[in-house]
Order: sequence, then C-alpha cells, then structure tokens
Amino acid sequence: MNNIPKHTPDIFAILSRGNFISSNGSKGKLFDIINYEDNYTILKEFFSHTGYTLERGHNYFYFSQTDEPNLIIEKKLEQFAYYIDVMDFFSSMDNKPVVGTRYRVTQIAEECFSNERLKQKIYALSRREKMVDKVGEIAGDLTAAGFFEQEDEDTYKVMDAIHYLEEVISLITIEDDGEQTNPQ
Amino acid sequence: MESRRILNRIIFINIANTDYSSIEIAGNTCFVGTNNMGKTTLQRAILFFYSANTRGLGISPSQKSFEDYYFQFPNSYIIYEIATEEGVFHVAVYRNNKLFYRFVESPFVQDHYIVDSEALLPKAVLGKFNENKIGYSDQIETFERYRNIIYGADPDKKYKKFALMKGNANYHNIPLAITSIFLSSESVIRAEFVKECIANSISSKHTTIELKTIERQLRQFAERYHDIETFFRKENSQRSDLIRDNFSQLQQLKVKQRSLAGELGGALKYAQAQKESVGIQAAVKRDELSRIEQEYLEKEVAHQERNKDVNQEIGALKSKLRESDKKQRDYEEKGIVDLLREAEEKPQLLVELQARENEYATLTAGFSDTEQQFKTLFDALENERRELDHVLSSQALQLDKRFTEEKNKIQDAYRKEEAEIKERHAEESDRFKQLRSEKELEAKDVSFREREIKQRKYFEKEVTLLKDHLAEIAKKRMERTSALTVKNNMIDSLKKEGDHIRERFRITSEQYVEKNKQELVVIEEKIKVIDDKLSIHQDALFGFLQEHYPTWYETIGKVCNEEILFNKELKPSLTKKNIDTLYGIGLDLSNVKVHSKTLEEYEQEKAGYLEKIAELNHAFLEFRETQAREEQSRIGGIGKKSAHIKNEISQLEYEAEQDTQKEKQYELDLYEWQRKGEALREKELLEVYNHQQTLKKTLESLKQNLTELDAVVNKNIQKLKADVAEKVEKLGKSFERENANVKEQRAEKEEEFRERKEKLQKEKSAVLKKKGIDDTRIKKLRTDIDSIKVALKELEENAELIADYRKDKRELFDKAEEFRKEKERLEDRIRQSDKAFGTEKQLFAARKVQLQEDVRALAESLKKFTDGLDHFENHFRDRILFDRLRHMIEGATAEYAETGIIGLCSQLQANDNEFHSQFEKFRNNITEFAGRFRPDNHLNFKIGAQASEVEYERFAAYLQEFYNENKIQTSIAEVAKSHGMLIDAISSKMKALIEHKGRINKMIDKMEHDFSKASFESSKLIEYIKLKSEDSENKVLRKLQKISEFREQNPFLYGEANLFNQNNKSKGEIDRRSVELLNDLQKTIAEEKYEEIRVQDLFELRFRIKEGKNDTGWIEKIDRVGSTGTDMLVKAVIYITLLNVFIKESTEKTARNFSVHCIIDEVGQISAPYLKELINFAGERNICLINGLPNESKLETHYNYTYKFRKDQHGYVKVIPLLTMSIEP
Repeated sequence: MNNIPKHTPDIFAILSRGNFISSNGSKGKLFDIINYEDNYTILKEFFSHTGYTLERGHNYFYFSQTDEPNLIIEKKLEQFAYYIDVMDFFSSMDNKPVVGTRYRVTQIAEECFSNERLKQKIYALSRREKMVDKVGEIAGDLTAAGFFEQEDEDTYKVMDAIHYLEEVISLITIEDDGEQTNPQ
Repeated sequence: MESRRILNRIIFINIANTDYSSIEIAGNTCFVGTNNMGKTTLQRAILFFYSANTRGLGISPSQKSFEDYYFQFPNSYIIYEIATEEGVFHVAVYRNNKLFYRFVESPFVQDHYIVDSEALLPKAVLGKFNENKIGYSDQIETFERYRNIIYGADPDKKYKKFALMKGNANYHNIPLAITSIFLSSESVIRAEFVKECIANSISSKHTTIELKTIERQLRQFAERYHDIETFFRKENSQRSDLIRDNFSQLQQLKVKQRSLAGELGGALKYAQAQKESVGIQAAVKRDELSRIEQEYLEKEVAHQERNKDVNQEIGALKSKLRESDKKQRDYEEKGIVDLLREAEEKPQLLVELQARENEYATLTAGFSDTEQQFKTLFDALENERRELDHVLSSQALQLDKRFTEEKNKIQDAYRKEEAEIKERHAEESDRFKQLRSEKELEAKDVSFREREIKQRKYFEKEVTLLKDHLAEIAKKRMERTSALTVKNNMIDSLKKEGDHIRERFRITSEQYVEKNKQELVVIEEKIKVIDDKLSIHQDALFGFLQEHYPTWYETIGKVCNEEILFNKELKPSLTKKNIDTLYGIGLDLSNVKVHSKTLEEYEQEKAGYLEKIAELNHAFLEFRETQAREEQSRIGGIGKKSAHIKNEISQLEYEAEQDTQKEKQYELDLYEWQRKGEALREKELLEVYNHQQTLKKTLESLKQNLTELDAVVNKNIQKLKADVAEKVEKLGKSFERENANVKEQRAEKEEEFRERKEKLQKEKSAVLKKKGIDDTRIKKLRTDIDSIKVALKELEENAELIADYRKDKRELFDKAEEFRKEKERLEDRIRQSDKAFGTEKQLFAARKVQLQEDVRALAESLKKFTDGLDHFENHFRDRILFDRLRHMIEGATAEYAETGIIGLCSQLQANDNEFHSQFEKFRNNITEFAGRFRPDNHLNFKIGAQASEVEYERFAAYLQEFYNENKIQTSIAEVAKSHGMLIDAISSKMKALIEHKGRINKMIDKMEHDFSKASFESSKLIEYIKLKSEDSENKVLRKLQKISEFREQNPFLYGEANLFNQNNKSKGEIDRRSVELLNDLQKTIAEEKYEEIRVQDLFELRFRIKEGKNDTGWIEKIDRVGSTGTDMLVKAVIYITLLNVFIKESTEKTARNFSVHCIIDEVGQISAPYLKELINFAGERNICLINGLPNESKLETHYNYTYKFRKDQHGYVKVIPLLTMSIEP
C-alpha cells in the first residue's frame, strides 16, 4: 500500500460523491494519476475496502456499488430518467453533445426560442421562468452529476463521462409492452 | 549661525487658510491649538519639506489634494528656510499648474515676496531677487530632483550647497521614516510597521517582489504548460492523427467529388450529344434490318413459288409412276404376258381354222374324185404352206421392222436422254459456275474485308483519348519527378540550413554561457573578497578606525592600502587623536586621492557586483530568450518553408498516386478497349475467316459438284449408253429369238407340211387302194376347228384388255423410266434451289444477327444515355448536392465516361454520403480535441460552438500546419523560457531580497543597542526595550525561497531546451520538480492573497518591553505599555530610535552635522518629566521633535519653540509664538 498516489484522498472525495473524473475536465490531472501505470489496479484494490468499486470508462473513472438499497436504486433510476430527457434535449440541438462540446447558456436559450420542439422539451424539463434559467438549471444538473463542467459563467463543456450516459441509454431495451427497463 | 544644517523656518504665504505665517522650528517645537486650527496643516507642510511627496501626507482621498488645499492662489508660497554652517538659504514652493521649487541663496526676506501686503507672483519674486542680486536656482520641476538636492544626492555640484545632509543611495528612508512616524497615528505599534520601516531604510521599492506580476506570469506559465501538456496527452495526439487523417480523407473525397462532378458534367454533355447520333444510327440500322428482312421475305416467296411448279410436276410424275406401277401390277395379275403371246398367235389360228374348215368341207363334200380330192388337198396344203410361209415371212418382216423400229426408238430415246442429261448438266453446271464466280467474287470481297479488318483501328476515339490521357500523365510524371527532386533537394538544403542554424546557435549559446559563467565567477570572486573583508573588518584596522577615528578616511585612508586596513594582526590603539602626521611626518594630503573605501562603498561595490550578477543573469536570460526566439523564428521560417514544400510534395505525391491510379485505370481501360477492339477484330476476322472457310468450302463443294456433275453426266451417259446397248442387245436377242422362233415355226411348218403331204400322199395311195371313206379324220378336223374357234373367241374377249395394255404400255410403262428421271431431275433442281436459297438464308441470318446486334448495342447505349439523362433529371438535378457542384458539372467539357451517368450520380451521392459521414467524425474529433484545451488556450486550438464547415476545415488546416511547422516546439521554447525566466526572476528577486537579511539583523542590533540607551536612567521608567527577529512565517516567501534554492542547486540546468523532454530522466525530474514548485507557488499566492513580498516579509519581529514590573514578553505588537502616557512615551522612544537608526543608515558616516524633525502629533498624555527625558533622548540623536498639543499645559515649556494657533478676524489662522527662548534641557 506504499504506492498509493498522494492524491488518493482528492480522488476519493470526488468519486465517493457519485461524481466522475474525466480526462478532459479540470480534474484531468487526477485522471492521469489514476490512469498512470498500475495506479488503477492499486486504487481499485484500495477503494474496494471502502465498499466502492473503482470503474473505468472511456476516458473517465467512477465508483460503483454492488449492494445498494432498493430505495437508492429507485432514486437513481428516477434520476436517470431525467438525464435521459436532458440528453434527449441536448441531442435535439444543432450542436450534439459530443465530448468536448462547449455550450453557452445564452446560445442554447436562443436556439430554444427559435426551435419549437426544443422549447417544448425544455419547458418539460424545467419550471424556471426565464429561458436562460431553465437552460442553466439543466446544464447545472448535468454539471453536478459530472457529465458537464462549467468553464465560466456562461459556458459548459461536455465531459468524457457523457459516454457513461450514452452507454447506459444504449443498454435500454424497449420491451413489447412498451415499458422501458434498464437491464442489470 | 547654526553649527548644523536644519530646517530653520517655515513660512506660509497664502497657504490654506493662512495669509502669512512664519514659524521658526530650528529645535523642538510644540504646536498648541484646538482642533481644526491648522496644526496638522503646518505639520504636513513640514513633512512635505522632508518627503516632497504630495500623496504620502495622510490626506484622505475625500479631502482636497495637497496642491489644491495648500496652493489655492498663484501667489501661494511655502518657504522653507534652511540654516547651515555657512549661512541660510531658502526653498520656495509655488504652483504653476504643478508644484515647482526654487532654491534661493539667501534667508527669507518678506519684502521679496510681499509688497504692500500683497504676495507677488513667482515672476515678480524673481524680479525682486534679481533686483537684490540674490542667487537662485533654476526652477526644480520634479519632487525627485528636489529630494536629491535636499538629501545631497544630486549629481550636479552646483546644488551641493542646498543639501540638508549627505545622504547615500538609501536616503529615501529618512523621509519615509519621518512620514511613517507622522502617519502612524494609531495607538498600536505593530511589528509590521517597524519591519516596514526597517525595510524601507535598507531597501528600495525595486527589491519588492510584486506577487501580482508573478502570479500573472505563473498563471500564464501554468496555463501554457497545461496547454502543452494537454497537447502531448496520448489521446489528444491520437485524436489529432485522426483529425488529420479525416481531413486528408475529406480532402481526397472533395478532390474525388470534383473529379466525379467533372466526369458527370462531361458524361452528361457527351450523352446529350450521343443521344441524337446514336438514335439516328439505331434508326438506320433498324431500317436496314427491316429492308433485308423484306428482301429475304421476297426471296423466300420467290423461292417457294419457284419450287411450287416443280413440286407440282414432281407430284404429277409421282402419281403417274404410282399409276404405272399399279396398272403394271394389275396387268401382270391378269396374265398379260400370256394374253399377249396368245394374241400374237391369232393369225396362225385364223389360218389354221380356214385350213381345217376347208379340209373339213372337202372331206364332207363327197369322195368323188379322190384324185381331185387329193389334188385339191395337195393344193390346199400347198396354199396353206404358202399362206403360212407368207405369214411367217410377213411375221419375220414384221419382226425385223419392229426390231429396227425398237432399236431406232431406243437410240432416239438415248439421244434424247443424253441431250437432256447434257442439257440438264449444262444448266446445273452453269448454275454452279455462276455460283462459283459469285463465291469467288465474295471471297475477294471477304479477303478485302479481312485486310481492312486487319488494318482497322477499333475504338480509335476512345483509345486516342486514353492514350492522350496517358501521354499527359507521363508528361506530368516527368514534370513531377523533376519537381519532386527539386523540392526534396530544397528540403534537404532547408534541413541542412536548420541544422546549421541550430549548430550556430548552440555554439553561440555555449560561448555565451561560458563567457557569462566566467564573468559570474569573476564577480562572485570579487564579492567573496568584499565579503571576506567585511566579515573581518571589525577585527581589523578598518573596524578600529571606523569606531575610533571616524575621519580616518580623509587622512589614513589616503596613505593606507587595503592590505593594511584589513590586517587583523596590527593591534591598533589610539594614542593621540587629531595629530596630522604620519609617524611624525607631516603630509599635505589635500591633493592626494583617497584609495581606501568606506564600509558603505564596499557595500555599494558589493551591491554593484550583485546587481551585475543579476544583470548578467538577466542578460543571459535575455540572450537565451532572444536567441531562442531568433532561432525559433528562423527555424520556424525554415519549418514553414519546409512544411510548405512538404505540403507541395505530399500534394505532388497525392497527385502522383492519383495519376498512378488514373494511369492504371486508363491502362486498364486502354487494355480493355484494345482487348475489345482485338476481340471485335478477332470476331470479325473469325466471321471473315468463317465466311472464307464457308466460301472455300462452297467453292470446293461447287467444284466437287461440278466434277461430280460431270462424273454423274458421264456416268449417266455411260449408263444410258450401257442401257441402250443392253436394250439393243436385249432387243436383238428377243428379235433373234423371235426370228428363230419364226424360223423354227417355219421349219416346223415345213416339216408338218412335208409330213402332211407325205401323209396325204399315203392316204391317196390308201384311198386309191381301198376307195372307201374315213370319218375319224372328219371328227378330228371338227375338233381342231372347234378348239381353234374357242381360242379365237378367247382372244376376241381379251382384245380390249390387250388394247388397253398396249395403250398403257405406250403411254405409261414405256415412259416410267422417263418419268422417274424427270422426277429425279426435278427433285435435284429443288435440292439445288433449296441449297442456293439456304446459303442466302444463312447470309441473311448472319446479316440479320449482325444488324440486330448492332441495333441492340446502339439501343443499349441509347438506353444507357437516356436512362442516365433521365436519372440525372429525376434523381440528381433537384438535390442540394447538384446545386453545390453545379459550377463544376456545367463547366465540364463533353467526354465519354466508362462508369456512365447513373454510376457517376451514384458515386457522387455515395461520395457525398461518405463525406458527410466522415465529416461527422471529423467534427466530433475536432470538438473532442479542442474541448481538451482551455477555451482560450495559447496554442489557439479553438472552435466555436456554432462553427461552420469551413471553420472546422480551417481548424484542421491549422492543426496540420501546427504539426508541419512543429509549432509546438516554439511554444515549448517559449514556455521553457518563461519558466526559466520566472525561476530566474524569482530567484534573483529573492536573492536581492535575502541580501538584506544581514542588514536587517544589523539594523535590529543597532536598534536594540539604541533601545538600551532609552532606559531613561533618571526615571528608570523603562527597564528595557528588546527586539529580536525570527524566521518569516510567510508561506509565499517559503515557496519563493524553495524556488530560489532550487535555482541555486540547478544552475543552467532547468528549462533549457525542452521542458517536455522525456528522454533525459534526470533532467525530466528537475523540470517536473521546477514546474511543481511553480504550481505550488501559484497555489500559495492564490490562497494567501498577498500582493507583494517585501523586505519586511523576510523576517518576523518581536518586541519585549519591561516597564516597571510589567514585562510584555515577546510580542508582535505593542498595544499598551503601562498608562497612556507611558505608552505614548515608549512608542515615541521607539519612533525616535527607529528614525535615528534610519538616518545613520542612510547618510554618510563622516558628516553627521544636521538635524531632522520628528513629527509626532498629540503627545498631550506624556508627563512633563518623561517628555523632558524624551526630548533629551531625541536631542542626543540630533532629532528635533515637533509635537502637537490640543491645549496649553506645562509641557510646552520643554520645547525650544511653542506656537499657539488662533484665527484672526478675517478667519486667517495666525501662528503665535508663545516662548521664544530655549530652555535648559
């Protein structure tokens, strides 16, 4: 255990909050540290004692937990349903949410004004009054979850962790009765 | 006359709310006045004399500025009168927009400034000076210049006389200290303040480390470093490869698209042009086809018509033959042969009947005359014999005649048949000959066609076009090869040039570094020497002289060298002071230069050297930066050129590749066309050969036929001849046989007649003998007659049949052979006709197939063109893609395209789809790539959120250029430079800062020493005031120190060539460490929020004061020491001590013949004895106190000057002196 990187507490602090460490974010250094040589294995082993499993995605890391109460899982599913709608919103824009895309809140708001479909979608997502606030809210939610990162007051950047959302969404199968389920 | 230099008097003329005031302040002065009476205004004016800084006077921003408040009129003056050993001069301060000074070589005379109670304007004042021949200086326009003059630091000697003191480079500390004391009105003396004062006294502003600047530089460095780090990230380099690949694919797709669009345009025009001509050609071919079909049909009808008659003839012949055979069989069944034979015997039977009837009549007529009877019998017999003979002769004649007739008939038939055969043969032969000549002509035509086919150039247009293309490609290849050679040579030479430049810069750099190092070594050596001297100076003669003989410099200093001065073994002792001899020898040293240096001079020299080191370091960095920049610019230029050429090369290579592909395609096409041509030639030749073969065969067959025909004719004639001969022979034989038969008959009859004659003779003889009648004979005769009659009757009955037979024989049986031959001939004719028609049919079929093939091919190509044009119209023209490519499509020249319009449209569409799919990837890759960099990264990898296609392409082109020109190296060099410079700057600044540490400690020692004198022995109020310094707790400073230490440990190693070099591990480690240090520093600066690191941050200061029984312990700030009075006293002591120390530090040691003022306001709380002690304490240090008191008390009696502030009836403040005599201390 002597080889544990000195930034391990920082890593734990971020990941244990359910956040992601993406390679293209401001915490890119931490990504590099985890990704450096055997650090991933070492940290995975190290964190396993805390009940978390360090998982590796495409250019991002996160924690997973095997045993979680149903209530939390349900909450997470609910949350996910919301993220899917948000992703749907961003995917309906001219500028798709590709890793590294920079969104300006004002620009999104403008697009919402000029695109009725987007407008309806964002009205369904946020109850804020002003369009800019609505956009800010959903961008903020994605930021809080680690899928976006705020670069300045008006700009949000799409993180590598967006792949996580994409992957999970791609796993969703629509069954015959039309109910959506998320396979375990 | 003052024995010292001091600010003697201050005069206000129209200053603030004073019209005129003259205040003498050449000693401890006390201002008494209630608030808002102008005490502070006056004190500020005094402070302004020392500081000459309108901003450091404690005027709050909400108040009027110094200029506006003090100098409200053009004739407002503050006059400072300075007393010196030589006399008195004054400085006038006035305003003309800004403030100006003028030094006047006389005491202040009111009349020079005020005439008739009215202050004069500066010009008029000068007039007054001129009038009174008073010398005055030029107008001093800057505060700095004024300060330099006042503090004796002005290089201009003419101002030397106006100096208050002879300050050194740090004279600024004196006004600063005076200002600081005046401004620190707060009741707490913080270590910070003292530290500040110490710092100010030993350093200038230049030593301060501006953290804002460093933080900015660090931030810039960190950001740039981060940018470069990001650039080198594995995924980014992969991504950039992908982008460049994508870009090149997109470019290629675009090129392909352009070429396809051109091809499509060409194909469309070609199709439109061809559509008509092919249509016409197809129509012509179709017409020809229907024409030959019609012709063939007609021929077929004619042929059938021709054959119809013959067939009918054949049918008739066949029915005749059939009838003949049938009748023959019927006749044979009826025994026609016997009947015929019997019919031939009829005349004989008739004769025999006649004879028998005659015999019978004779026999029955009477037996009269036997003789007669017999004679008649004999006559009758003779007649019978003659008759028979006649019959037989006529029969023989008949036979002969018939034979001749038959023979003639046979010969006639033969001749006829021969003629017929010959005729038929001639006809056949003629036909064959005609056919042969036709075929021979055809054969000639075919061989001509063969020659023509052999010489024909198939698909000449296409082949020529392809050959032209190939020739063009070959030409281009030649040009390209030479261009490539030239460009490769250019790259080689650029590479060499680059290497040469690098080498040259490396050598220059090494030389510079070497030279720099040498210079540094020399300077460091010199510093070491000075340090050595300074470290031992106190134990050497130098130290002794400094302490015990302050003026040694002017005497001993001129005759003593440094070796003696710094010799520790001399054990100096002062035996007698002020003897102007050298070992008893008097020397006039007035014209001798001073060789030795003062401590300050050594320090100055050392400082100079240190500065030189800093300069050298800076110069080194400058050099390196300039060199690196120059190198980078030149290498960059070369790189740019090289990249440009490489681009051109890659373009050429791409073109070459394209051309190779095209060439291959063209060659394939050419081969294909040639192959097609050859195939067509072969096919046509084969046809021709087949035709020739057929013709040959036909000719041979015709020849054969002719030969055969001749043979058949000959054979037939021979056969005919043989038949004829046989028939003649047969006829002859039959004739012979019949003749013989007749002859035999004749002979038989002759014999019979002879026998009957003999018998008759015998009977006659017998009758004659017997004479009697014989009835047997009559009976026999009757029987014979009856049988003959029966036979004749039968003959009569079959006569019709025989007649029919004979008719049929004549008409049918005898002609059967003729019919057969005729039938054969006719059948042969049909066969020949069929054969001839068959050849024609064959030719027609071949021609028809050829024409159909041609029509089909033409229809196919027409369909292809029409379909292509329709497809284009219906499925391509209305697409956006067409609008985009319209200029290329419509601008193309007509050209055949192998792929066809539909194929080209599909290819273009596929190309466009591929382009869009690739572009999607390309855009995502760019977004991801650019997203990894900061939004305003210095590498300029930025892409807008709403970027257009062009912008993405521009980004990729920039990325390409970035790689081609290896711009990252420039960036790295810049970052490495800024890194080095940052570390150097921090290190040198830290060095400069830390340099002060020794002096700080000295200062603190001095202060402590001075404090020890402030124990106020008479009152024993303060037992001690102690001061000590501790290591600084400033985190930023620590980080800075670490960087400085790092710099010391790794001189010339860090950040040189490449901060991101992974090859050299140890260097990599150093670079990493240095970057970490800088990052730490940046973080700490951000956390600590300091704006600068000053000298005072180098140490922590602690006070310890024991007053009576109160011991403060080591404290950072002196809040309250005892009662208010004591507290104030202690603080005043500290202030005065500080000022004293600063003055000592900031002026020439040799001439301490001046006094300065220490302005401390509000000293009303100090008790009289303590104030007295304080005044003494200050006096001992040549410091005059200027204090303010709100009310009159006993305290003012301790001052040399006491002034009261009042306002007159006009509201002008009047300063009234209360006591004018000095009291005894």
